[in-house]
Amino acid sequence: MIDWGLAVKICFFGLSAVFGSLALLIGAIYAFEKILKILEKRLN
Amino acid sequence: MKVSEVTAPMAGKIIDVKVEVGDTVSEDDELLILEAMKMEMPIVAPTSGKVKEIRCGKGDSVGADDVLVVIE
Amino acid sequence: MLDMALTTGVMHVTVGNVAMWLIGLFFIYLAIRKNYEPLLLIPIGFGILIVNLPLTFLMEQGRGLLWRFYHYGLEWEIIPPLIFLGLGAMTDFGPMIANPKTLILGAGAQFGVYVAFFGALILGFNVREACSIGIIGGADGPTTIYTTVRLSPHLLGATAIAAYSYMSLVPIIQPPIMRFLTTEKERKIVMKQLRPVSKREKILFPLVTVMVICLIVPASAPLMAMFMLGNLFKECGGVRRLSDAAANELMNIVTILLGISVGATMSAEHFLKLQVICVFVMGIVAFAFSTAAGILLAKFMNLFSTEKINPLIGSAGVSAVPMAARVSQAMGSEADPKNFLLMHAMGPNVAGVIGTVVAAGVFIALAG
Repeated sequence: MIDWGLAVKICFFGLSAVFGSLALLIGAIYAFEKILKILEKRLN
Repeated sequence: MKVSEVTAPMAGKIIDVKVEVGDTVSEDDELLILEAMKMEMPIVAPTSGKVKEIRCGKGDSVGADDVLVVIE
Repeated sequence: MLDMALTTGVMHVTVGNVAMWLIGLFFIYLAIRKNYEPLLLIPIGFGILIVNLPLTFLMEQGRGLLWRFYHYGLEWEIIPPLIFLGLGAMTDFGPMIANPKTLILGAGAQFGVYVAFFGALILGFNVREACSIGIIGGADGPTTIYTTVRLSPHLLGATAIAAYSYMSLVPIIQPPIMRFLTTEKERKIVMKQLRPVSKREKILFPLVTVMVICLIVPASAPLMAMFMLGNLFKECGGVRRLSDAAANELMNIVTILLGISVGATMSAEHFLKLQVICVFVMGIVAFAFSTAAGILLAKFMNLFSTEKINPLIGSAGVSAVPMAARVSQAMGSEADPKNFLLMHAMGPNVAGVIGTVVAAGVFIALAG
């Protein structure tokens, strides 16, 4: 018998992990871009 | 006379130059063939006019935004 | 006399064996004549051929040569992560860093994975099998193999072949879907050139990514960690020797072992089943839905942003690198020869690889 509960859970977790982690990554990229810019200004 | 510069859309290698200085070209004519990521892409004339200058040769590696051809 | 004849393989050949020989030879033909993923299909095709020669016992547990390759290379999970090391050393994340929004497209194109996952369940596969079939939709060979070995090794031949053959068919599968879902005007959207990305950003990227992704989906770590290590080798500039080795020699060596091991799992009794056809059908469903989802997501994002995205790059979220990006470029320049989408499409393309690894990690964590 197929465990539909598990299937739905996998799908839900999977999609949220894919979108969540990539969205976080976007945030991280923008953040370190900002930090780098500030650092570069200080160094100059 | 309006001068327009054709720039490289991305870094790559020029594998063919299809025009010569003095040629008359019309819009969307192929000027050069650029290769990037093993894909050959034609670079076309943005406007009609006369080729005034060619700043690259066959086999050259070019960077994004480099001026390749000047048309007037 | 009869005894002597029985020690040869000839007397033991079955119809199934002959069918598999033909399949193996067909793959070799496709690889050589049609240039469909020759680096993989030649060793796979050859593996199929020899494993179906009776009495060679190449896949005999504990004894056969190919069994050893399969067991220590794939079951021990060594080969796919090493391939990822090489991929990392070959991947330029610059276009993605320059326009991080395109990461979302890479996520959107994982949608087909879940469509195929449910499709497979409906066709009667169990949850673990459905995970392996779904992941084909990510269009990523090593990830598909890694997931299948973990969850349902008996399907390995089918899922690996489906993933690699559909990847090489991307230029045929995607364009009709792309044309159907976009208008002429949308295909003509010109995207402005990407900003240059500094070396420092490129070095920081693998470090940040490996931390973010592995903290969220620890099960993706083996692939993700190797992927990012390879990329760090490439970008830091100080270890040219290591990045060259990872991208060339090591990559070629493990590709040989991978191909022949995958081929070796395809003996007649394992491969000639109705199940395998279902795997292939679901695989193409996955590819089609991933392509469509990427495009639709790009159109959706255009509703909110002022800087319009050409929806043709959405389909590049299907992570067949760089085939899917090339398709975006070709379709874009067909609509407007002055439009260059290749670099823009590389963003979702490499993001798609990350997305697929994350999806695989969740499958392994929850179904494994």
